[in-house]
Amino acid sequence: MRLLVVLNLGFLSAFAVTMALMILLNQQKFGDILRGLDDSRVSVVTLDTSRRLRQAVDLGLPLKDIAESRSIVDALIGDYPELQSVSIFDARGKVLVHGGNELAGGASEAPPAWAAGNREADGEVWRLEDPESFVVGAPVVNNFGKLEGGVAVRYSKARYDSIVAGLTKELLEAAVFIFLASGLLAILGTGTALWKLTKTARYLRQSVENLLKPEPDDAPVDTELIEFVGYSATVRETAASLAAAERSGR
Amino acid sequence: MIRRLRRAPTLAGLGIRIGLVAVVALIAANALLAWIALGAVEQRLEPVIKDKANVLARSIANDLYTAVRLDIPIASLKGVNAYLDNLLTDHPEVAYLAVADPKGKVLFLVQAENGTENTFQPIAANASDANAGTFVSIVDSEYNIVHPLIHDGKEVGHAMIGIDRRYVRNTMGGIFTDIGISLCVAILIVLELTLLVLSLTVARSIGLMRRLMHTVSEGDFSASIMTSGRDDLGRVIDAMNGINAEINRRFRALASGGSAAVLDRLREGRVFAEAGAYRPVQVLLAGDVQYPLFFFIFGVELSRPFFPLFVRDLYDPSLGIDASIAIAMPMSVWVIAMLLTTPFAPTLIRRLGTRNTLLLGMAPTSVGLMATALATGFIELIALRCLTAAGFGLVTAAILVRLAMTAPERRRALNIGVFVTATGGGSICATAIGGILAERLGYENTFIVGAAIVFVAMTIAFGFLSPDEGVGAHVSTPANRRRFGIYGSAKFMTFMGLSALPSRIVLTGFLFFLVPLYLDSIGFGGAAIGRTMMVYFLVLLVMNQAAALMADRFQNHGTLILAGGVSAGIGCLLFVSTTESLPLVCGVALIGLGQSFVMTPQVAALPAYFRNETEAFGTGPVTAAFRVVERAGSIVGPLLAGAVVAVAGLEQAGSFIGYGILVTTGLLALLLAVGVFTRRR
Repeated sequence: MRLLVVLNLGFLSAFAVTMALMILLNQQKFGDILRGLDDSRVSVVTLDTSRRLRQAVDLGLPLKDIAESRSIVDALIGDYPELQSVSIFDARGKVLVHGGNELAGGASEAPPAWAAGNREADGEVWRLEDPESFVVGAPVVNNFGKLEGGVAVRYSKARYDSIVAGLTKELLEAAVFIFLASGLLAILGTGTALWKLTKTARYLRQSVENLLKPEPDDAPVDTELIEFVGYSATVRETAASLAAAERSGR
Repeated sequence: MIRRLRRAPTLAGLGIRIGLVAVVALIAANALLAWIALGAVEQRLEPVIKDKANVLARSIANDLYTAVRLDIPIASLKGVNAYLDNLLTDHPEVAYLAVADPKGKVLFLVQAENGTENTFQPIAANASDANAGTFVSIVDSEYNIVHPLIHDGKEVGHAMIGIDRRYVRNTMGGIFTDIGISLCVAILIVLELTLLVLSLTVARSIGLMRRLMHTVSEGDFSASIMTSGRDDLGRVIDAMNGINAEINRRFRALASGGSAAVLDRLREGRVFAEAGAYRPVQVLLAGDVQYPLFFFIFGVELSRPFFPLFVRDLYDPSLGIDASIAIAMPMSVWVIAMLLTTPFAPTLIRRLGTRNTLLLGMAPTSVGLMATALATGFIELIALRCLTAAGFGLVTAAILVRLAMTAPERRRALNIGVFVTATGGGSICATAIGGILAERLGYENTFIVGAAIVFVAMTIAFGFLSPDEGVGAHVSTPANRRRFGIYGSAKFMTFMGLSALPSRIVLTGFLFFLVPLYLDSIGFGGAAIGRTMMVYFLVLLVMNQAAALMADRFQNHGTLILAGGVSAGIGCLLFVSTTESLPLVCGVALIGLGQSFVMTPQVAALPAYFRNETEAFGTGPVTAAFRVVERAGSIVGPLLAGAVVAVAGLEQAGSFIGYGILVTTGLLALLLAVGVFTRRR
């Protein structure tokens, strides 16, 4: 029984560790893919918006005077409910048009990190993270390469976290059932494998206990332990000598 | 008396059956979980991929609309294929991008390369269904998304996207290598565990029973087995102890009032525990320490694939040491700290016993690993590596002493095999898993996992080794005055300089120091570094025995040493000459092959090459001097490599070591050819 418990404690620990590692690897890879797809989707939206604004800027309109800006922002917020906010800001970081959730600290100034990211983006998208959101932005540059401003799209981390948590929960639930089933299989299999050993040990014990009994039970002997033959003979012979000595002493 | 024959299951058969059950359950459980995970991931990602494809389709339509607004026919647009190609590169899940006219005729098409054949075709026939908005259809292995292009209320074309539904499966496939390696390691651990438990319970109990039966068969009833287990085999032992106790009780009862003649007759050919105290029966098995050693090495070596990268992160330029040399320093300090504690092992075993000596070494190692995870500075890291290595040196030396104690001279090689198997197995598992954990959990958490595994090793040592074992044991150590004379032999030192020293420089300077840094520099992640380095230990474990057999069979140690040197040299040069996975792995495998050819024959060749020195100083001091030079190589290796990296860069440092090995091997070949080592003075 102790052997069964020790073996299976070890096995179950190994099962638990590998399954935990499996869940961890899947969760992280899933998180990476999901994050990549979300980021790529929002990047497409952001770049599209930036290109549309650029077309207007190329016609000579300053970014702040583009009448279409409001409708672009409102359309994005309407079409993509997972977006938290869309902001168009000028090169100094002043927010020109904003839709969706309020920015921290009011809607008049874009966070300094956005303006900095926008300046360093070199025409490509830039990415930032704050505690609640992922931010993807793209600069708006005119025909002469002058930075006019930028677009920043925020989308929720909570949605990402809840999807990943949903997967983790599902995998954990499945893992518990699989763990129990495989544990049971291991216990039953190990028990069956040890059964013969246990039975042999019991017979051997009985044989040893019978050695000093005057009328032994009907017990077989484990013949694989060849030492038992000499052992039992010596024990019986010594017991007989002791008995003879005890009789002569009375 | 014997009524029936009962055949007991053999230990090997029992081990195979139990191991098989556990491995089948383990594989089945993980395969099922992997399958469920893949389904769950696909189910969650499908809508995300579709959403993204919609956005992309709209974006293409918007861009084309710019031209359409200017009344340019879509078919006449220039550069559309290049534009679509760019998009295809940026979005790996896309199978094809196409633009079709209102009748569904494909005007522009770019397709992802998908092996040998292009299986993706735009579903142009469905294009007309998209008039009202984006239309999605699923055909075989792809989603087809069609977005209409409307100008002045008239349909002028369609943007079409095919998404490869196998994208998720293919991308998730990237983790299956990691999962497979984790599973292999888990299988190895489960098998080790099965053997451990069977060895320490069943084999030990049966060994003790046999020993007691043999003792009693010779008439000695004064022995008894100390048991701690309450299993069935423990009860057999209890019954046997009970027999001895009963015989001794009856004898003592007779002795208290019986005649001397009767007692003398009873004593003839028999020994009783007349004073009431029993002599304990002990069975020492080499396997007792194999399992704690396996887990100990597993825990310590977990940081092997990323250690230089971890040091690089903690490097402090204000110390005024070059970064490459600073990265090498903790590795060299490790060997020095190890060397300092190694000599204490025999004395500690004699005083405290094997178990307590092992615990005394494992405790600082575990604490050191844990503290390394929290280290914030370079100097702190050096101090913690000293602590960890001090424990490591004590444990490995204590285990070697224990193995030497438990085997007679003729079985000593077999016992050393226990050491090689445990360290090799532990290293393979550690480098593979260490890389995966480092990539997923970070370096710091991997150190903590390592500390926890060392704690498991402590628990095994504590639970299965007897506290008194080894106390008072005598282990011979060479006398100091004879130990140092060997270093005056020019011939000996030449051999060391051309063989022992370079082979250790390859190990510590190239494999442990340069390989992780080089792989990191060409963009390999932690898991990939671990997998690549694991090949070395795998080849070493497999080929070490083969090399030993070849060395013994053909008695041509020199040829093997030379072959090993050439193999290691070519391995180093191949490794730094490429950035492709397969040649990199081949390079590491060649280094492993070279090391396995060199390691055993180097020691075996000592008595033959240095007959005069062996006669003058003894085999022990010659072998000990060889080990000292080896360790000097281990200290020098990382520092030498670091210095060359500082001057010339990673590739050049690798080439330097590779060519260096080839040159020293060439010189050794020359000296062997002229018989410098084989000629007797």
